Amino acid sequence: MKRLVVPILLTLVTGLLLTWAYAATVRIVFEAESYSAIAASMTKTKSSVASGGYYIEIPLRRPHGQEEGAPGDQGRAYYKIKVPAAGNYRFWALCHWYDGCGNSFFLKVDDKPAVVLGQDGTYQRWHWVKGPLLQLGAGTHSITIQNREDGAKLDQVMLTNDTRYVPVRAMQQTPQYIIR
Amino acid sequence: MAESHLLRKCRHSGLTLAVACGALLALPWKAPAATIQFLEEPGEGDFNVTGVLKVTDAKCEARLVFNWQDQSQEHYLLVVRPTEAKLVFVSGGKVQPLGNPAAIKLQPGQAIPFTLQRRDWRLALVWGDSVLLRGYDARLRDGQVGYTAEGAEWEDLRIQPVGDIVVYDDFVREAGAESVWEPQCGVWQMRTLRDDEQAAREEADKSANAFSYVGAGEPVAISVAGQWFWDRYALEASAKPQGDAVAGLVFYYQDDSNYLALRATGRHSARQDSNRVQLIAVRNGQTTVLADKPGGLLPGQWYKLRVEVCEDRFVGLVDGEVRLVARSPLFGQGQVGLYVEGKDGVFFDDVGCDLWEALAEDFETVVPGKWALGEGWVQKSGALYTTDTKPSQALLDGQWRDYACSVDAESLGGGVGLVFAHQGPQDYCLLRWAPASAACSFAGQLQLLRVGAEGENVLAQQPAPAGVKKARLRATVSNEVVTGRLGDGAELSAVVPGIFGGGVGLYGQAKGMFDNLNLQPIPLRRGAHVMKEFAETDEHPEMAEWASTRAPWVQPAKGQNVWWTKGDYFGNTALKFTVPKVGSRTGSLTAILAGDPELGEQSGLRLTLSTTSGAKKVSLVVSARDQQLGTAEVEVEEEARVEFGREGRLLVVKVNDEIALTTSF
Repeated sequence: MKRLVVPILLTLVTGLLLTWAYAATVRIVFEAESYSAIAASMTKTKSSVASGGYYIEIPLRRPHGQEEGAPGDQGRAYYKIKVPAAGNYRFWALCHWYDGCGNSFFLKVDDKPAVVLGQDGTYQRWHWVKGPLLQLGAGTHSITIQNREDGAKLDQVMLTNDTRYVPVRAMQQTPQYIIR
Repeated sequence: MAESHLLRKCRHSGLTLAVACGALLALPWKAPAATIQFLEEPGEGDFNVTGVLKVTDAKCEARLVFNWQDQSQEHYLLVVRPTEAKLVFVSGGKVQPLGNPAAIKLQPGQAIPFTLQRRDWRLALVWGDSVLLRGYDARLRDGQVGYTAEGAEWEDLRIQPVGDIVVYDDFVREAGAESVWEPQCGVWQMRTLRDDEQAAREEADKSANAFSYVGAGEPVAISVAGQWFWDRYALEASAKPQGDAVAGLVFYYQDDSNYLALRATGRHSARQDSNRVQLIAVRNGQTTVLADKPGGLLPGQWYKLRVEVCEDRFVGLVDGEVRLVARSPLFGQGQVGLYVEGKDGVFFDDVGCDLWEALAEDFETVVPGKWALGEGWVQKSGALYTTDTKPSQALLDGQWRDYACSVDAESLGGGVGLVFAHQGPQDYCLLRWAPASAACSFAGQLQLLRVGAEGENVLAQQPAPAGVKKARLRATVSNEVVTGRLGDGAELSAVVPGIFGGGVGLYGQAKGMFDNLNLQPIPLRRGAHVMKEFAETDEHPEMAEWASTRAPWVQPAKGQNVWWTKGDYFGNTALKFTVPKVGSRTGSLTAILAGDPELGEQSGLRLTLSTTSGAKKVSLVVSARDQQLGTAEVEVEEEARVEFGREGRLLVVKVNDEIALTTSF
């Protein structure tokens, strides 16, 4: 029996180490409607095609895109997430743009300066938009999606430290990483 | 030894746990010769498996299991041995080859990066930087991915789901804004009309918008978009070379030393390779010309460049004309990009990239598992023959939507046909033809049929041309309209509600021969899109004409009320609009296709739509000149989303996605 103890322990240790290494790949997925707080004109909208049945949006205004200046209001959705391991996380957002004048949000992470999310030319269809690479420590972080243009919609957000991975369809939400 | 016996399953929650638990479980009992280690993440829909195969022993055998079905244990298998790699389908202990095996040479110490591509019907293995294997099978979907290895190790195995292939960019954004483009070499910048040196010469009423993307660099400038795993796409862009610059498109981009490209040099350039259009492969920085033809571009003029890429076949087009076709097994996947040679630079605009699920079958090679051949079919001498006197079919298992297909067909005494929109043995369309002398039931006829549970229904037919025994059969299915044509003869067409696509195949009754089957998607129609509403015309006077809701339209003169589009639209065209709150007022509107502003609103093909206050219905009248072609009345709840389209010689009106009226003209 003693002869078996060492290999069993070795196997367990190896397994734990490998499991830790595997766990180091993290995907944090949350629905846009899983916000902690929301402020107008950001709106939650029901949809049969959206993941989870809802998306959030800055509703289209008429006339659309009349001014080039600042957004019409501070409409935003606020999220809190729990990051299990420190690292560089790619931010992805499943978005739907109305047109070239409704194809972006502001993204603000913790107290860092807001950056523009979007500005691509794929209009009138849901698609994943690549956001910035974020350096995040383990623990709680806040994410704010804020009005930049009307006609912009958001269905899901994913953060992953697997920077080669590219989301292509709606994903399973990971509630263990969401603080509500 | 049966494959299924070898592949005894070890169920665990994760790859690494599986390693640990597998070792633990192995202690008290003898481990099987090979045990599958399953990845935690399943392979769902279309996906890639990537990784590295590291060879540790000269007698290695490595297997990658995918689309593993828990219930039946059916699966696909990639088998890699020291001198051979192959794809197989495994069911009930029986193994069927998928495609032809490939010869390889593995040695200890080698580490080969690979991508296994699993698509709806296609399978492929990218081995190093080339495609090594191709197979075709659609029996299994989803399921687990796992592996075994002896004398080798699978390293860094990952599953990458594959979804829509789409990039559009009209570059309507301010300079310096974020975009999907990643410049790899050269200098790239956004340009608006205001800083384009040619602005003064350009006319607002002849351009969609005032934004473009300009690249310049020596020896090359490349900016890429999209994803590394894109493998079947059509990429197009408007390009305007300046001076001596070479304009092009990049596809299957790996890095700036490894990619494929369509390039077109200046027609009167001082370069040695002036006045050429080429498909090139750049591998480890070395350029090889895959295809080459004379005919370059004029500087200062806009051209539409396009490449269509599927499997190892590439088609290069300039202004809609096929200029080059080439094949290469290189790379098998990669990002798309814009390409420039020269400091003079090239302007790019209206870039679009969509899925391009094409097929080109020359029957030169027998590919096991690709065709399901009925009685009497045989592939030989670079063609497919049918000999059975009873009607029979040879089918592909793929599914396509909105496509055109064609094949060279020869009657060797019998009737021949093209099966399309195939959803099942009693659910397909058929274009068939037989010379008058043929020994079959439709001798002397070209017929377009719909085959359903109730049997054959002839949708349209015409007499077969006399004396013709060999011709190209062409069929299309798109947007609930099917068409058929023999050679350059008149087109048969019919509306078939609910039909958007399906599989393809060949049909024979008695002796016939087929060659050069071709299938390609019918490109998505792009809308004349209203880009932007804009009011700051005092500050930006150059934007006044472009950036308004009226941009695609010519404002009617005083006293007139017809809004004509600025551009002319040719061929199959559809006008879409929504009538809100039907029943809230009485009125009518007329939509015109193929009209002529000089001849007025009575020209072209017209749909007049009327609503009455208090009535939840719309009345439709389709007419051409002074002739009424058809009428219909449709009940609607709230709004009427109307599509008035021309499909060949048919006019189709849809209301809320349902066909409301069809007529020919």
